[in-house]
Amino acid sequence: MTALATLAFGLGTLLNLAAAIVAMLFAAGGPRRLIDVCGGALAAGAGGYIVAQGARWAALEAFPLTTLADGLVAFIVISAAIAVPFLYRHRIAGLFCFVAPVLAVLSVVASGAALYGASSQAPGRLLTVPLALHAGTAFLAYALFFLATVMGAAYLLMASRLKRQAPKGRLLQRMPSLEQLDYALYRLLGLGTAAFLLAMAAGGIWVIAQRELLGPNWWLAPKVLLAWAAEIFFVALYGLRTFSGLRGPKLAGLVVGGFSSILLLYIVLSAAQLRTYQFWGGQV
Amino acid sequence: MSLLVAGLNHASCPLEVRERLAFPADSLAAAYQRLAATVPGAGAVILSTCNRVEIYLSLYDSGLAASAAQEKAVGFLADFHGVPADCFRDNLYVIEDDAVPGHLFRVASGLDSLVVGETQIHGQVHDAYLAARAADSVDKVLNGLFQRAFSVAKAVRTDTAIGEGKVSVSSVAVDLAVSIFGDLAARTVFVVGSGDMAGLTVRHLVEHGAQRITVANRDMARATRLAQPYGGEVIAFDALGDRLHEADIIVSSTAAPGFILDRSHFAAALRRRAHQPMFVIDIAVPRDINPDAATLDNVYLCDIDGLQKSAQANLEARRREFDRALEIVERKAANCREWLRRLSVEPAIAGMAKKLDAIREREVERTFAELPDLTDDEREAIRRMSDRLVRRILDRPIAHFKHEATREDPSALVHLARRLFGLDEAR
Repeated sequence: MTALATLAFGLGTLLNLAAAIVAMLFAAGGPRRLIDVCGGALAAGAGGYIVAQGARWAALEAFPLTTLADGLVAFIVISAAIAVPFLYRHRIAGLFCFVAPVLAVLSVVASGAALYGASSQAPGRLLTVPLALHAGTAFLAYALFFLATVMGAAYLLMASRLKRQAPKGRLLQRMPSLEQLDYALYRLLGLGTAAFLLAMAAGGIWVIAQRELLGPNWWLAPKVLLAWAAEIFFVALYGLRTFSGLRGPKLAGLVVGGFSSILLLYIVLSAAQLRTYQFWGGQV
Repeated sequence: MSLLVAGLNHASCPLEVRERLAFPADSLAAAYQRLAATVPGAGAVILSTCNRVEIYLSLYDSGLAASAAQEKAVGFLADFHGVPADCFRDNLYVIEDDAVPGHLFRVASGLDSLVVGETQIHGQVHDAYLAARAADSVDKVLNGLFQRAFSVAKAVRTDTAIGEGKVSVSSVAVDLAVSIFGDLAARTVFVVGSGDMAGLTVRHLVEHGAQRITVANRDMARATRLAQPYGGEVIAFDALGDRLHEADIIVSSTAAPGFILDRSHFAAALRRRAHQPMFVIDIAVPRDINPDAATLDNVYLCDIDGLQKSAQANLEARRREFDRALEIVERKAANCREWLRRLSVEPAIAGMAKKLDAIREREVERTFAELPDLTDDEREAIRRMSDRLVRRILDRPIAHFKHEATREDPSALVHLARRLFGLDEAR
C-alpha cells in the first residue's frame, strides 16, 4: 500500500473503532448528541476507506476488490453509506448502537487481513463491467441484509423485554418503536432482495461473457447454489410479509437467523476453499 | 450583591396554602404592577406553578437591603392574595445572592421538582420569564440569570438521562404504547371498564395523539361519560369479542372477578388484523386478561405489577442521574456567580473612572488658564496626555478589582473603592 493508502486505511479503522466506543457510551446512558458523533465517525471512517481504496486503485491501476480485506472494506463502506442516511431519515439513529460495533469488528478484521495480504489484486481478465456490477450489487445486497438483520436483532431484543414486562433500561428507552423497526426491516428486506436479484442477473451476464473461465458446471458451484437458496429465502420472506402478515418477532427472527446462517455458510465455504468455480472445472 | 428569592414549594408548604398564593396567568399583569409599586426599581420575576410560588427580585438599582426587600415581598404576597402573612411566613424560604443561581438552575432543570427530572417545569419557568418581560420587569441581572437557567436546563436534559423514563403507572403505559407503535395518532384505543385509572390512562394516550377511543362497559351510562370528552364510541360489552380486532391498544379495568379475555380471543383478533401488534394494558385487580394471551406473537400484555415495576425502575434511574445533573448545575452556578460578582463591581468601576475623569478635566482646564498662549495643537496634546495618564493609573486597579470580584464577595472591595475615591460624595 502507498503511504496515503496506509494512512487513510488506518484512519478509517480508527474512526470505526471510535464510532463503536461512542455508540456504547450512548447505550450506557451518555448524552444524546453522542449518537450524532457516532454517525459522523462512521461516515468519516467510510470516507477514509474510500480514500485508501482510491489510492490503491491509482497505484495498482485496477480496482482492488478481490482480497478479504478489500471485500470487507467494500462491505463496511456500503453499509455505512446506507446506514447513515437511512437511520437518520427514519429517525432511528439510536440503532447506530447495533451497527457501529459490528462494523468496528469488521474494520479490525479488515485491517488484519490487509496487513497480511495487501499486495494481491484482481486478475486483469476478471475486471469486466458485468463482474464489477455483479460484485457491486452483491455487496450492496449483503449490506442491506446486514442492516435488516440489525433491525431484526433490535426488534427481538425490544420485543423480548416488552413481553417479559421488564423495565426498558437506558438503551431501549432510546430505541425506535417496534413498528418503526418492523417497517425499516421490511423496506431493507425488499431493497436487499432486489439488489441481490440484480447481482444474480449481472452474474448471469458475466457467465455468458466469460464462460470459459467458469467451466461447464458453474451453476453447481456451492456459492451459486447458496446464492439461489438465499434469494429464494429472502423473496419468500418479503412475499410473506407483504401478502400474509408475517411480521413482528417471527419475521425478525427469520431475517436474523437466515442472514446469519448464510454468512456462516459463506465463511465455511471460504475456509474449505469451496468458494470458487474450480470445484466443477472452472479456472477461477 | 442583591438578589433574592422568596417562595414556597411542595416541600415547604401544604397545598391548601400554596393554592391560595398562586398567581393565575390572567392575574400576572396586575401582580407585576403591584410588585413594582411595592419594591420600586427592583427587577422581578414571579414563578407560579402547581408546586411552587416564587418571587425573584433583583435589587441592584433599587437601593434596598435584602432584609427590607424580603419583608416587602412577604407583604406583597399577603396583600395581593388577601392572605395574612402569618399564614405562610413559617413556610416561606428566602434565598439570597450567591445561592440564587444554583436554586434557579435546580428548579429549571427539574431537580427541585416533586417528580425529579420532570421537564414541564422548564416551560413554566420560560413562561414566567416571558410574562415578566411583557410586564417590563426583567432587568439586566434577571435577564442574564434566566437565560443561563434555560441553557443549564437544556444541558442537563441533553447531557444526562434524568428526564428519561416515565415514573407514574399511567405514563409508563403510554410510554410502552409509544415503544410499540411510535406515533399514536392513527391508533384505536379500546377501553374495557371505566375505572379511574383507566380514565387517567386514556387521557394520557389522548394527550399523546390517540384519536379513536371506543369504550365497552356493562354500564352504558358510565361508558358514555368516559367516551364523551374524547368524542369516543360506546359499544355493548358483549360486542367486545367481535370488535376486538379493531383495537391497537386495549385498556382493561373492570371489576370482573375472573378473566374476560383470553388467548383465543386475541388469536382470532390477530388473524383478522393481519397480525398487526396489539398492546393490552390490564390494570384491573383481579386481572381481566388471561396471561396466556401474552404467549401469542404480536400481543404485548402489561399488568399493574409490570407497570409499577417499570415506574419504580425509571425512578431509580432518575435518582442515579441526579448527582450527575447536580454537578452540571453547580458548575454552571459557579460560573454565574462569577458573572454576578463582576456585574456588581461595574458601578464602582464606572464611578472611579468618572471621578478621575472629572479631576483630570478640572486640572486640564486650570492648566490652560495658567498657560493662555498654548496653541490648539498643544492643548490637544495635553488633553491626550492627561487622558492616557488617567487610564494608565486606572488599568491595574480595575483589572485587580475584576479579578478579586470573581473570587470572593465583592462588597468589601466596592466599599473600599467608594471610600478611596469618594464615590458617595460624587453622588
